[in-house]
Amino acid sequence: MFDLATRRIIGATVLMLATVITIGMVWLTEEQRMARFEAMHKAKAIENGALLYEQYCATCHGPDGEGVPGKGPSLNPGVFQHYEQLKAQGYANSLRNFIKLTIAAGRPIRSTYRAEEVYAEPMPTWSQDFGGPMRPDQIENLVEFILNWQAAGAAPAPTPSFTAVGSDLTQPLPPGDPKRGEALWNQEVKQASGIAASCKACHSLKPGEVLVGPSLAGIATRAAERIRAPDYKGQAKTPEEYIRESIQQPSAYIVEPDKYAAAPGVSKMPATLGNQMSAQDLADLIAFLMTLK
Amino acid sequence: MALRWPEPIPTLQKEVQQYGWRRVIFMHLDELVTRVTAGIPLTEVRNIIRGEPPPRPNPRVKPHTEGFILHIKPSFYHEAVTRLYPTFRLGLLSFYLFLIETITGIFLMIFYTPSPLVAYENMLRILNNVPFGQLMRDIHRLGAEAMVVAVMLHMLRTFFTASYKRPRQFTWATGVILLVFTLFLSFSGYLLPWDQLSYWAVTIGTSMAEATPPPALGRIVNLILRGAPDIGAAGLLRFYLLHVIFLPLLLFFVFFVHYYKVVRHGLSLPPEMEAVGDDTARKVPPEKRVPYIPDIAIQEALWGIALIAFLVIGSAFFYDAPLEQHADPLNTPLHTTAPWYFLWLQGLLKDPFLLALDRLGLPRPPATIYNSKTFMGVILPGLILLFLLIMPYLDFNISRRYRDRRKALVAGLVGVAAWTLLTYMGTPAFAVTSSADVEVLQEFMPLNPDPLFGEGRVRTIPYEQLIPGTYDTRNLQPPADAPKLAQVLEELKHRIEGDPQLPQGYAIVRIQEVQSGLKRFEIAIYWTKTKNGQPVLDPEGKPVIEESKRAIYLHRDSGHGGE
Repeated sequence: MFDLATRRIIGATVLMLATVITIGMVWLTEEQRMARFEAMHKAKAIENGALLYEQYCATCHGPDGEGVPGKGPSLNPGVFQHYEQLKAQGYANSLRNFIKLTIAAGRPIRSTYRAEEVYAEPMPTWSQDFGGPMRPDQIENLVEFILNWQAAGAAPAPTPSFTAVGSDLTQPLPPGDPKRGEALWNQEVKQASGIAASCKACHSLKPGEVLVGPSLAGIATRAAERIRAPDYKGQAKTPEEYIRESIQQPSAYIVEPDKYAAAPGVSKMPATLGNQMSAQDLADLIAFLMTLK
Repeated sequence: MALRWPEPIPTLQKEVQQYGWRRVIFMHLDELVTRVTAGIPLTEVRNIIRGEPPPRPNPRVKPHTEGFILHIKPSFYHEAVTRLYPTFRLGLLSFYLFLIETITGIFLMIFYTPSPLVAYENMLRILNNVPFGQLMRDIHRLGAEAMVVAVMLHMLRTFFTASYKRPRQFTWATGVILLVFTLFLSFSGYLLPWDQLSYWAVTIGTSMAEATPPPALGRIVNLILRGAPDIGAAGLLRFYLLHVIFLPLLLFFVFFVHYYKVVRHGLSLPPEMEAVGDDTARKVPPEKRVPYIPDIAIQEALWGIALIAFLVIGSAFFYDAPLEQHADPLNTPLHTTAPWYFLWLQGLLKDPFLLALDRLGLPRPPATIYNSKTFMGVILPGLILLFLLIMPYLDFNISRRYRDRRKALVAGLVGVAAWTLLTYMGTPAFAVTSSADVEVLQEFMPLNPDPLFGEGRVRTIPYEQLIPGTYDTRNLQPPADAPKLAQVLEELKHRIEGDPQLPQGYAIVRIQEVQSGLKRFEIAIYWTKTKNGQPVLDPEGKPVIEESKRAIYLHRDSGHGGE
């Protein structure tokens, strides 16, 4: 019908039209495509952040960000509450930057937020910019993961099923049962981190053996000596009260501070143990410890 | 006093008075067309469109003598080379692809900074914040792959039609250099996205450099190439400069030498059309001449438009340039491969010679005499390159006819087959041994997309079907409303139970929802430890069970799940 050259020109025209139509289609859908890519990339960042969190953060802040007593504070909802508190004080940075900077540069000094909770170590620096192990993109991924907790709304703090004694030393205790106290001594209490630990994880009952804290062999006898010591600063009048004080307010008096203090005046022993036991638990535990003459 | 010209310049008004306005418009249009086309007047354009023969003297050759762009192109071709065979237009396509790569490359350069701190972020910006960014990147990448293919096929075609023979030996040699430049151009661009794929592919590719003998020189070559013992900021900058300036300039220069030689000697005719030993490409009888304008020009325009259509439509609908996780120098993906056109080198580095010795039960030569990496990674490829360069000068068979070149053709086919085989050997499918449990985990959920398994089967499960719970492959009871999950669990069961290296193997799969829209998928594989086919027993006489675990996280919006 047409000669070769004409057929070629027709073919080229058709192909050119197809190209132009394709570019037009790309043009029309480009906005949505970019938004879709953004969402997809954010999702992947959260996936990566979750892996990093599991690897680096969960040991101290708990696998679900609920915090680990004595190691790291709650992130979910702790970090969001902390930020609200800071904002009320006039902190002008965004939540994202607050989280990012805290991860990247660490926490060289203990925050005033939840000052009563004692953590053995301050938050280390994580970004390579500050001598840590992580690249900037990894920090970003972690931030995305942490912010994703907020996406679902902060999870309510777990409510204990009993009334905890806390750090209140004045509440009268019921009579203690040393047998149950010994069971409590050995019982692994599931920590917020999901890791179960018991008293004996840190305290040995063999004389002189130091695990993390001092050996508690003969603690009843020693407690009686401690309250008479000239440098004793606590309020205890009896050995029972001394043991009670050590559990509920471990920093009230630190024996050999260079060995057992995490920071000047702050004991390595978690200050939050009182939150994990009822008055009965505490009385039983004291009763058991008083048997260690 | 008004300035007076020696002769009055004809003004438009006077011209119209003299010739009438129709004729004046025509005269000016004619002048414009003649200038733009470097010598073809408007009347001749009309003749061309009407398909009429040119007058004498032929104004259609003017652009070849007057204009810059066409002065390098012949004004007519032999009719025999204007068909698909023998050229297949592969050289032309390679050149077009180079132009397209340059244009799309400049577009991408605008949004790219060659620094490990921001390179990957720049890629994300190109994809989520630059209109047409993804299209341009896809075209650039697809075009690069197509260019490598086109240049390789161009070389094969030249070999099989014996177009490299006298007097075109030097043209062939420059062509080999162009092939090498094309490969390195593509390879140097590979690193720039700074993702896991590119980082490790280039690490493998450049690891050969270090094997250059003697060791002192190898270290220097490696340092020059990577800028440091390992690829980092300096290496990225070097590869960037290679990619955007050094190699394109060199390629451009050698291309003109190549094309000058092509035109100088003429496009070689199909071998059967010439007497043995003759080269008549330059002596085209008048009746065999096909003028460049308009016939060849239309043809070349068609090829160019077809190529653009292929790249644009292909990139828009069918092809996405890969972008993996951010490069992580501390985390080597299990199966790392070089770009496909260097897989043959990776195959060589697995050392077929030593593998053959092992298979025959012969002892391996001592490493002091035979260093596998030096020989297979540097010396042998160097010899192959040298051979390709000088091959036409070693070929004393003057005949270009296929029937006179049986040995050469067979050798060529053997070469292609060997290349294909080595390419296969370069893939992780061949002679890569990692432990069986790791292979299973890699197959089902690699941490980085795997060259063999892609994103892995676990990621093909739609998010809604990831129903939290614990699943034991010894007693599978997957939820009824999750067919894809059930299928993957079933595959996992068969994969583990069918693996002889995992005796009595089973897996426990745990799916947890950890955040809104985020689930954790863990596979733990258990199997009985054996030694010499016998189960290893612990002190209490029970068989020792080995364990291997891996977990990944899956987000609702991450585009997995095959949607």
